[in-house]
Amino acid sequence: MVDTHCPYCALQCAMTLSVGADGVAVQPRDFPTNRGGLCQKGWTSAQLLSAPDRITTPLMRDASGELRPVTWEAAYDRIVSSVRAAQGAVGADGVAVFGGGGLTNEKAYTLGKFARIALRTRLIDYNGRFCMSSAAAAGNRAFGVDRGLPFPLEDLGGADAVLLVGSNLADTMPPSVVHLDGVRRRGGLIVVDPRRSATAALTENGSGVHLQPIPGTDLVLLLGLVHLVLQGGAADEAYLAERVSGWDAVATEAALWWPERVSRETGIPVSALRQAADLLVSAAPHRGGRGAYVLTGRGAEQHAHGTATVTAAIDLALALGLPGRPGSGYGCLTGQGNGQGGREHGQKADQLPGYRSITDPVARQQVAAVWGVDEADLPGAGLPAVELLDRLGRPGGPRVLFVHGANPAVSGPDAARVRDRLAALDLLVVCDFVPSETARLADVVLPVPQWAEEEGTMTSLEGRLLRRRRAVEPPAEVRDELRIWAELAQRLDTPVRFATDPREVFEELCRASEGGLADYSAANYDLLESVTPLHWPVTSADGTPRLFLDRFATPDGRARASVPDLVTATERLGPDSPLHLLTGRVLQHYQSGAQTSRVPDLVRAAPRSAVQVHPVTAQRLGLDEGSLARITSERGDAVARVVLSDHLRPECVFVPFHFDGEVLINDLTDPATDPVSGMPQFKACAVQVAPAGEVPA
Amino acid sequence: MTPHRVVVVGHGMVAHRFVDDLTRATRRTGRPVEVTVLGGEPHTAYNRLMLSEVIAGRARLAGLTLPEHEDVDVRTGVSAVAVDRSRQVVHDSDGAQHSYDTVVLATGAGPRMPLDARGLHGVKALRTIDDCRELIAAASPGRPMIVLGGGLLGIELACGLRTRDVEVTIVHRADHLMEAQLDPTSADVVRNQLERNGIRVRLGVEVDRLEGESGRVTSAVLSDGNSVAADIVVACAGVTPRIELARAAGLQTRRGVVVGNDCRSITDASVAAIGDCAEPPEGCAGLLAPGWRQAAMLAAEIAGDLPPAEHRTDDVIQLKAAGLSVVLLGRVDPAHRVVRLSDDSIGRCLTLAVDDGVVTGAVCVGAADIAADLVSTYERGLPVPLDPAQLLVRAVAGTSAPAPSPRSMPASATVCRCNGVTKQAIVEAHVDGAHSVEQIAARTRATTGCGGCRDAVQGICQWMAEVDPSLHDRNMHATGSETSVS
Repeated sequence: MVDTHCPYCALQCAMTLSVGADGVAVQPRDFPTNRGGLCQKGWTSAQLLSAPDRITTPLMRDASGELRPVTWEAAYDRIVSSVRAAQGAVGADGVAVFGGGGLTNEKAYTLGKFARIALRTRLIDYNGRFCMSSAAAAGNRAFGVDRGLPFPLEDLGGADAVLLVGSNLADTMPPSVVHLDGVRRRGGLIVVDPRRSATAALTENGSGVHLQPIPGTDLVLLLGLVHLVLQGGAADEAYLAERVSGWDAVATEAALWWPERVSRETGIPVSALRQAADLLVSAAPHRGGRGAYVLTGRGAEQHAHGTATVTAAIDLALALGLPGRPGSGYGCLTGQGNGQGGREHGQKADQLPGYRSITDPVARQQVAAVWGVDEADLPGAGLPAVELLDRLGRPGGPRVLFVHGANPAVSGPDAARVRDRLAALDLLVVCDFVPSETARLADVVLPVPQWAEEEGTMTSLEGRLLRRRRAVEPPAEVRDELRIWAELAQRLDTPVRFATDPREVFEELCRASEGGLADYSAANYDLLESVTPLHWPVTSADGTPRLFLDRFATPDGRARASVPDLVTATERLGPDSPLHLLTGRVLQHYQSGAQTSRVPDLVRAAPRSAVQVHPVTAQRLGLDEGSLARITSERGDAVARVVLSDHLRPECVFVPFHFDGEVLINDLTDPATDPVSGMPQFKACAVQVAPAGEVPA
Repeated sequence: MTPHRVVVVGHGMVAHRFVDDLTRATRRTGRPVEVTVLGGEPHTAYNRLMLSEVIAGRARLAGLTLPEHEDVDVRTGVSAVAVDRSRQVVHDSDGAQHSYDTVVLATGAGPRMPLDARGLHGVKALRTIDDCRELIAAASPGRPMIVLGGGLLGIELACGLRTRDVEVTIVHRADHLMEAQLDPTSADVVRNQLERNGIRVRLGVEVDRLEGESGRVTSAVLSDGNSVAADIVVACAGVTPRIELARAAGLQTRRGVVVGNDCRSITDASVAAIGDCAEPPEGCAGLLAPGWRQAAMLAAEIAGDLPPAEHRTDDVIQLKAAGLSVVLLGRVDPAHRVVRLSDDSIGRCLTLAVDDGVVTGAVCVGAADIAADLVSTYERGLPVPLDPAQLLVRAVAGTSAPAPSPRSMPASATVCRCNGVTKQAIVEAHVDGAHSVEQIAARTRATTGCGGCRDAVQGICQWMAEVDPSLHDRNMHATGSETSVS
């Protein structure tokens, strides 16, 4: 019996694994975030351990173009010689690294270190760029620090209002819904989503209100709510005066967003806007309410104006006096399992461990000392993911790419272009445990352990450090990434040793993070054995469950309100592309589907991608339930089976982004990126939909 | 490069928007400009559109201030007194002179006064922040007031005053309200809704004269001979473009300053006019949206920027009135396919015109949610359903069926979403002996995700306990309820 947490999302539901004759069995475990609940993904997670196409030996592409088993030595030799050749030709940046938000803290940390001092490249970024970067950029700017939820998730239970902007947590992290029971009983749940998602449906029967905006207009909607709060005389003036800077500019900008104008931009009736504002105002602590929360998800963030949208959400929270007050706040709902920890320890292009800038001389000195290298040998800031991927294989660009815990061939925007770039490399190295779409394009595939086969720590959506524990041994030929990097570093003549024991790596990570924003310095594995929750910063054995109670992490201690940049980057609908394509997840699947599509129970429950079309739109287009539709954007097309649903706005269609071998929807999505965060415009693009006839089998 | 000198006369919403657009556009193009704004009113720029909302208590005067411009010389309380076109100089009320390469007239419009106040106090308009203050001070409960004019602003104001329990009477010259925008049927629904809200409406009459006592208005005598008590009369009978300055400068004016499609005077291209004081080829609209579009166009031209890419439809009108929703878009052309839904009993009336697969016009009374959908469909030129009537009855939000009873629920229905457990699976588990929610959970995983289906599972257990005959037989003999079937 081993106590650990689920391999999938950032809720990190607690579970107990027991190993019996039939393999590993999963039991849910009581824990504050999941309260003993598990969704179908969690219950069935152990099935992936015995995936029939599990990669169990290193693979290398041979002369005939097939991936064939090879020895570790052969694989290493190929990698080392290609790295040398690439760097000889174009310099250190001839090699790039692409990481993932599912890696443990120990691995995220070591990957950043491996890139900077073993490969000596500045080109490292990760799939969190497609996930958390907008919320992170806006949170850092406003509060001086980005911890997804700066309060424990359970705190939501006591609020009178919760505003969820672009989050479908009822499908993406079902057990978290229990924390909305209180607010739903009190009628205060406000969900902003162009779809009547499972989460939006939680507002039914008097539990709250669903606002169903035109895609890409969340920003205007949020400014409209700020406007209503201000015009209703309901702003927390004392809080704004004492704890916020830059407010006046936001207030005057909001003056321009009266409800009728907002209604016209967003498609939301004025009455619904007022209802939402009233719920928030009466929940606000300075109005005698029990508290209110503003939470954002990828629906708000995965746009080329995602940072601005999150900024507007934060402005709304500031107007109501929420952040830094017990029982209230702003937060973003992190997606990937270690999406929080993964963005703190150096996988990001511009970042060193402890969530510090790679251009900060003090941080460079300290981290270089922990790593035992000269500060001058640390490279500078690299490129954000979309730019990095676009540079691959181009003249002067990287010729070798290492991919860890990511599947960019499917998950990147305009994914066909990403695959073209991957194909242009001299060497693609992918570490994975199943043949993901990216692994199948690789020249070298290295088999690594799965969650139940490794030790480490994860940092959940509420910034809480959790232990991941090994229940079973991985297959014999599988090597842990920590060992792979240490062995490669040695072969690349790296002057320093790379630790391979997770406990030792964690101790090093904690030292490297000391004094940073995400300071883990007082944490250790023994402390994590105790039942006390440990939220970062961990500068004492108590951790910090709630941030900002006394001051924000900005230089003057005040939260910084900013006027969001009002450029809306969503492709505008027109006669040639009259529908918005929305993308998202379904309950049974996770991310690119590399893992969940190999779990038979999940595939049975949600076997294939489908395009959801509003019945009125389907009728106009001549589409029926079950017929095939071709979806075309400026960048590409896809054919999917039609499911009729009146849960969408009629000018929207929805396709899950999990790849099941049929519908690769990110071939259509827009690679335009946010100017601040580098987040691509995943969530909405303009498309045309037409009957596709029957596709030959 | 010498900066292009721009003098803006007026600082209302269109002037403010123009300066803002110009700042953004020149930041993009790098073209230097020097901007001076002569504000006229003794306040910084504010959102005039919201004044009726302030009356309705839904907005605060202090919150109407518009953002300040960076690097712009804004002179509040200073008005332009003359434009000397030969020297390209504007003279202001402080005696200063401002040279210009382009002077932008954005002087707006003033309220039309369709009656002779005969020196009586109590006759007002609603155009400025000061008008608004006066009206709020006067709007005490039970006080009789007349709103003269049943157009957009008149109705907004009447609704606003009514929220302060003022005894409001709308006196309107035409035979139906908002005759410029509404057909008689829609107007009747609006009128009935206003009356339901406690506002009296007198149509087809004018105010012949005002009666007064001690220098104050006490009542108005209407053209039909009836008298209406009122100690405040607010004129909302339209506006007159302010063109005195342009006329004195020798520019061609009709109703407004005559300009071409480029917003520049047809007499002198160094003079531009935008907003309510301008008369472009399509005529004076008296609405904000065309003014903002003109502002964007002119700013782009001066900055040497690309013209604003998207031409948004600017014929969408949304009434801002407490207790009444009226949204108008495009034009309902009788030659097009016109679909109507009229339901006066709840104050609802929808008229929709469709041509060539797109919405060409609509009038929506009392249906804010449907109007919001129609506006987005119209503005984006999106295709309409095969049967356009579908646009008149559905809200965007999906239908939520009432929760089915355990009995009526189909066996294939999913009860536990998180774990994909159907009613059938629960029934089978029950037959197999799992009679409590906990036992069902252990067997099927139902309720073990978010827990939201607990009541539904409980309901199925109860229903099964009632209908499962094998259970009945046993219960006749057994006592404990925890008996399990083996």
